[in-house]
Amino acid sequence: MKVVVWLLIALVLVGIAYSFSTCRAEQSGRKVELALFDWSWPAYNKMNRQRIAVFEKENPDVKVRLVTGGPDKYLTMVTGNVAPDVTYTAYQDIPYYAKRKAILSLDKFIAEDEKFSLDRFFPSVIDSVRYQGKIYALPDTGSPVALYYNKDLFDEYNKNRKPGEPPLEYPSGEWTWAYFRHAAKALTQDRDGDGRTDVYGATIGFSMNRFPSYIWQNGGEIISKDQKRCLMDSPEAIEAIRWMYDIMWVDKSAPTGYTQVEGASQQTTDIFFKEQHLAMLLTTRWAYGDLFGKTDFVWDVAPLPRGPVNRATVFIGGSWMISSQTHYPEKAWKLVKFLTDEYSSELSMEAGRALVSNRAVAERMVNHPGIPPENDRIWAEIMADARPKDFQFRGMGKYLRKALDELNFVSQGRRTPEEACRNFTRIYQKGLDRLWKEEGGP
Amino acid sequence: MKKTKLATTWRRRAALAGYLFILPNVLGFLIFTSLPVLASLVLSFHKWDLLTPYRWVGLENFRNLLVDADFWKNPFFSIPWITDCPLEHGYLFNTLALMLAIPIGILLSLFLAVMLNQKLRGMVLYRTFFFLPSITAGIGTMLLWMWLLNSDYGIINMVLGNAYDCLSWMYDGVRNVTGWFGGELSAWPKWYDVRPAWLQEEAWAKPALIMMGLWGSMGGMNMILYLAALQSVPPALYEAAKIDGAGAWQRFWKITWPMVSPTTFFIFIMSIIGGFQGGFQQAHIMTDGGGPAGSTTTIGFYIYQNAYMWFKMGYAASIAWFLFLIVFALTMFNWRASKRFVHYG
Repeated sequence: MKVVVWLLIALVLVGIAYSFSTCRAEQSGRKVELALFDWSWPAYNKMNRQRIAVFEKENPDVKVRLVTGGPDKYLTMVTGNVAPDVTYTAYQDIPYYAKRKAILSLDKFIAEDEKFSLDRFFPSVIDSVRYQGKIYALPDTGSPVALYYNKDLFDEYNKNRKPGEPPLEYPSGEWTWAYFRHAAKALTQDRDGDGRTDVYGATIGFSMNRFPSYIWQNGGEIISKDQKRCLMDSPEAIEAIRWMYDIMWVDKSAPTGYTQVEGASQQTTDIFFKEQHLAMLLTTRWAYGDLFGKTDFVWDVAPLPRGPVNRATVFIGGSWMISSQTHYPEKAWKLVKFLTDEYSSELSMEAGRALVSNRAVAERMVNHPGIPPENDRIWAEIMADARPKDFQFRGMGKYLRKALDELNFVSQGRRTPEEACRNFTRIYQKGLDRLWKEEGGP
Repeated sequence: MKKTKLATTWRRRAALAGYLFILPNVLGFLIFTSLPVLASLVLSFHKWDLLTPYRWVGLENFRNLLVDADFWKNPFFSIPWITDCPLEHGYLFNTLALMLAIPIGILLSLFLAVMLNQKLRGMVLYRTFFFLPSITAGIGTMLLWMWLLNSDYGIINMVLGNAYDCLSWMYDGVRNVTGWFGGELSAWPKWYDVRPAWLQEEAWAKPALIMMGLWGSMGGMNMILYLAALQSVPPALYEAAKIDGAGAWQRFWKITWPMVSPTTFFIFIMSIIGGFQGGFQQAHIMTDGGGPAGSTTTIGFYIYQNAYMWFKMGYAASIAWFLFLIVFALTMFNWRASKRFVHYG
């Protein structure tokens, strides 16, 4: 009997302690604690700790707790009703969270906050955080795809070119598809004459972070504006994939899906470029991690060649969202605003988070003569052509992956562009129809 | 009378103490294993994306699984409802194909154990070497194998390439001779054009993973189990057989094989269970998420994809329970069949 009484007393005490612990800090006058969730990379942890120190100084009533991990951990926390107040996410997941009301729309905060304007961001990235007309996050960092080129290889070609051949110009925003293809072919070399290419002219990527640029440039779209129809079988899309295929399989100026480049220490395109097996690399600013200050040749960056119809490049990025489980939405908004202001954005750039969406900071970048890439300011210009991916929905599940496999088969020479585009459309459309039928759309 | 009562009380107390000792384990099992297992059964009848409440869908997840072309497609028989599946092989077939490594691995383990059961100098060292794959971290091993399997610079293709060049050289000789007599043989293709791209081609990805699996399983825990089993075979049996004039093969087939059959049975059952659940790490690390074109996606990895990449928790749970049914049925069958080939005592 005694034991039962003691157990009951212990239970009551635990209950009282718990109710004190969950009592809102704002009501009790204590410090408010916000959980900030970001990916767990050492450079980002350091950056976030610096940011938190400054934020806490400016907001003495708030304490920020840094939580790190990936999307799995984040979702587990949301499911367990302990969602972090503010979270960094890849923008393509925003519709998923917004549709399920896991995150707050920021429209109200934006409208009521006189000190804040969306003008602080590049207009092109705002679309990446919009869902059904509402803003659900503030963009932090990301990068469009640009054209990196090895100046030394261009110079070498021009020095050794055959009589009568015109010199190759360095890449610029004025390059056309035809000129890009010509340059890629001209720069491709078998240096030792063993029948295998030692230097490829360019990379042509069929991944979902690369191929959309060319389809948009050719006036095509991957899905319709109402997100109900896949348009990959349109003549514009097929023509763009054909152009990519020809560079790879007809001209043989780009490594294929099977190519192992002779002599490269790692089989990745960044390393091909770094080790001078590649003259032109089409990638994001994250490649600076492999290249900046680590090359013994001169390289620079330019916009992608202009397409027959448009200038366009894929934007890949991440942004800050506020959980709908937060007890302190106003404080969370303050934090999100802070994380995308000029101070935080500068720290982001220093930590290697590609390019920031904060326009003022991105435009403050300077060219640095003598240190590759000399033309660093070009990134701010490229952002004008950037477009977020509008076809990558988590709810598509395996259908997106299988549709992308079809394009991968083009890079392996196992599908013609026409077959791949037709199959892509059929598979993707099946997934899209299912998404609309079962979940009412993306 | 009093003595009996005392004995009963003592027995009760001893039993209580026993139960108390195993209580933490039982509680841990009930809370952290049984409950989630039961929850997953409940989940398999629901639709749940983690962010919105569960929705009861009855048997829909299981019905969807039965018509999931990606799961069922196979090269042996056609299924009427599977007409549109760009995959060459479905995930059930992939899982079964990778399990080909099991019988080969068992035989190799036994062979190795027999070799390591000899009385030779430095045998402990040899045993340690062969056990090393088991204590090496999986990811490290896989990264190593990715290099070995590299189509241009991997040691496997280098050896195969040299053998191919020898054949090519001989073929060229024959071609020259036939050329003198007016015959015309087509040119031997270059190695670069025919070399297997182990982890990039659908046709080669599964054999590559089977090869790696064999390396890991033949010298590991299975070998140790066999070694223990071999050492418990009474030497008198061999001596008697020798006196009766039995040769090495007869001694192995009539004595060793039956005597280690309980171990073989144990290894077989555990390997079958492991095989159905396996393939996750390889798909995640070596083949870029079950590629190329889904050719190394196993049932285990498909469950992960549905649960944690596409948040189809209900469907993932239904696949997991279907997997349980397969494993359970196979294990039952094996238990029954074992009476015919497993010899105890």
